Amino acid sequence: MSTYDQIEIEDMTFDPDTQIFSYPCPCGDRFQVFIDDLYDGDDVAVCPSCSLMIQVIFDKDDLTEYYEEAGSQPPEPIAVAA
Amino acid sequence: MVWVNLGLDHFEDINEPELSLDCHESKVTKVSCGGNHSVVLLDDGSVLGCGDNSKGQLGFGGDSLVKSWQKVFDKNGMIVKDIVCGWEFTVIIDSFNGVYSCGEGLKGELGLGPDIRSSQQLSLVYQIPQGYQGKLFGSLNNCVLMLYNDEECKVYGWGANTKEQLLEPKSRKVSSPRLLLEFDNTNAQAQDSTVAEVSMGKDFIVVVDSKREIIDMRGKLPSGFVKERWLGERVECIGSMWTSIHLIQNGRMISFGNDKYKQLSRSGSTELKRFSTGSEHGVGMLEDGKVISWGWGEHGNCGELNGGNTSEFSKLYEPRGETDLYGGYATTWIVEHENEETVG
Repeated sequence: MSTYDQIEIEDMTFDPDTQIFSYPCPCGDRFQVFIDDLYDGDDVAVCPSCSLMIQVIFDKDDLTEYYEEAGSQPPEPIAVAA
Repeated sequence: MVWVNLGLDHFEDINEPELSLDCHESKVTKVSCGGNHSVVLLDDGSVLGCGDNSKGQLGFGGDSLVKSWQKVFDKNGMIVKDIVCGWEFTVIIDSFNGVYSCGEGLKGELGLGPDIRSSQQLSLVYQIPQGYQGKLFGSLNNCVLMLYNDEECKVYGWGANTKEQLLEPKSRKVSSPRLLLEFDNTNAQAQDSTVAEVSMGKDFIVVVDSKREIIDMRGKLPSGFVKERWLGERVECIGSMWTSIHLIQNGRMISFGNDKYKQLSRSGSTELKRFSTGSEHGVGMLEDGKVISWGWGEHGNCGELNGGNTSEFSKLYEPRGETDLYGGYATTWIVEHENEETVG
């Protein structure tokens, strides 16, 4: 998948209420991605108003402080039947 | 989320220039755009604004959306000398040389210190000392103020600094004006030059002096745009999109950086006389006076392209008079002076 740009997580804005990371899109709207999606390894933030997408650069450990800020927990791993 | 930041009283993208503002008594001296707000500075020092005001970026509270051009920053008879918009903020210089900001800036964009992240009305950032003139430059999350007189020139900056676009070492933000560089014209080395222009991308700045030489570049520079190669080079025209830089040198366009949406497609071209840049597109004037555009045009900002991106020049407009060009966030502005019309 071709993304428009790569953005480091420290440059994004985190809203603890909605648990969404956002970053300005050149169209004037914002790229958005849920913290849980990042945690699950989906590193693409999409813009609701246009076709552009960005790849978020982060380590999984980076997310801990944001989960703390939001007062929530990472999603439970999906149990896989043996 | 779409705002009426074209001053056209509707929310649709348009791909042909429409008349947005018709001024009879005064001349448009500048158009500046933020993420979703736009301002027009007139030569009588008044400012017209429209679009998103939810963060107070148009200088007042209580009205989150300004649907059509409205006088703003006119309290107490304020006369505005210069203005620049960033993502959700606006900075102005008034006739008493006060530098003011309003709106929201989580990365220090308001320049009002570490504790102030939003202001619904203009607040004083800096008082320019007597004997200096000021000029503003802006980008997504940064503002640069140039102070100058016959003897010296100082450049201050504030806002995001995670890519060292202002100062080393990197920091999350620079929340009040900090001196970036200065010149003393009595110094032989400076050879009577002063800063003429600061071209700002999303994460970088490039400073050009009055001899049109590149004298400083900072931040995350577009790939291929190498400091050792370009410092000291003379350029006729310079413009930065968020993730690319474009120069005209000896009549030829040279571009570096992100080309995913054909932003670099005019590199090598010798047809452009001058140009201006928006977030990810360019708008330029050919030798024959036609206005063209290139780059990311998904919102009609590069004209009729079936919503795509263009590597060909997209002919936008044939002006009848003297023309100024401006690019915003996926918006394109043509100011035609003969009849003093602004089309967006």
